[in-house]
Amino acid sequence: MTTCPAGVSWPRLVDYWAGDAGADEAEWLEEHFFACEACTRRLERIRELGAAIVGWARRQMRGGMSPELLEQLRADRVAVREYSLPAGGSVSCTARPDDDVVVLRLAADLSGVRRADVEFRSSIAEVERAEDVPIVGEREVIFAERADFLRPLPAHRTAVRLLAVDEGGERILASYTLNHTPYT
Amino acid sequence: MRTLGRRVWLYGVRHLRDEDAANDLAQQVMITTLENLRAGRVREPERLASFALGTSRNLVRDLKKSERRRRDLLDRYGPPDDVSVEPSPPLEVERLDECMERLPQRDRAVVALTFYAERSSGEIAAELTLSEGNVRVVRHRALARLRDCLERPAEASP
Repeated sequence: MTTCPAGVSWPRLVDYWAGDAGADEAEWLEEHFFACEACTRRLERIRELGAAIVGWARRQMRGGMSPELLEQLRADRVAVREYSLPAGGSVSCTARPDDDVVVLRLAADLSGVRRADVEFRSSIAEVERAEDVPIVGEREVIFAERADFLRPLPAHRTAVRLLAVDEGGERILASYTLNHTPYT
Repeated sequence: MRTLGRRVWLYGVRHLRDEDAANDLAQQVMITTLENLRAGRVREPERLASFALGTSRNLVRDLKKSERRRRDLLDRYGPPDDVSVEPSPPLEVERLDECMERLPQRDRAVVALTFYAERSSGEIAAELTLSEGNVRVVRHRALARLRDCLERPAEASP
């Protein structure tokens, strides 16, 4: 890809495309990319990536989530099943045939936590760890899994730990228990 | 002119958030630009891009105001030569899924909130208890990683 002669950076183009550039900046960038092939190509790439992310979200989104992403999934008629757990809580859970996504809302005191990991330990799989999950309002972590992944699993128990991670190490913020049974 | 059409289309997608509407915008802008070129109203070739951008801005403003005015313009000038942008080949879905899985969880949420939920960096910052600056950095980095991952040749499976 040719280089932009004005040195316009990738972050500036991303901000512009995402609607975060100020009015003057947006005007300047528009005047610029109408005359710059390198920036036109990079904007085309950003647009493609954005469209691909939308497709991925509708088809495959899993992992750390936020309430607004859940809202968007529901607006797109994705069937979301939610389980909310207080710190120390347990729940009997399943994935029904008409579910698309199963969501855990794990409540905990996340004040001052800069990085949170979620660890899953069950009898039927290796330990899985989701690192640096989004923290919602310092009060919960939301984690999603695809229902078509969960549906074929046999009955089992999963111990979930929410961990705060920093330079000094890690500490457990809260633990939860999931008792999964196949839908009947 | 094809290059100019691509840029007008990108401008249209950015402001109208709809690829079909962007195709229509590109057609109208190119018609108007050609008409003015033929009439000698755009004398300097280096002014062509600015002329097209100015025309794009005015048209987007009109489109946003009135859908009826857009149909009138198309009726008046008739269908032009095709200046719609050819869709780029779709990104390979499996490869994309792999590359998205490699992004850190928080980065994935930020780009999903940006493009799927169409939230601003301010809204994302409030949602995820981050600073706006942090959201933007995460977003730049995540898109660059995704771009690089997709451009890398796929690793051979064992």
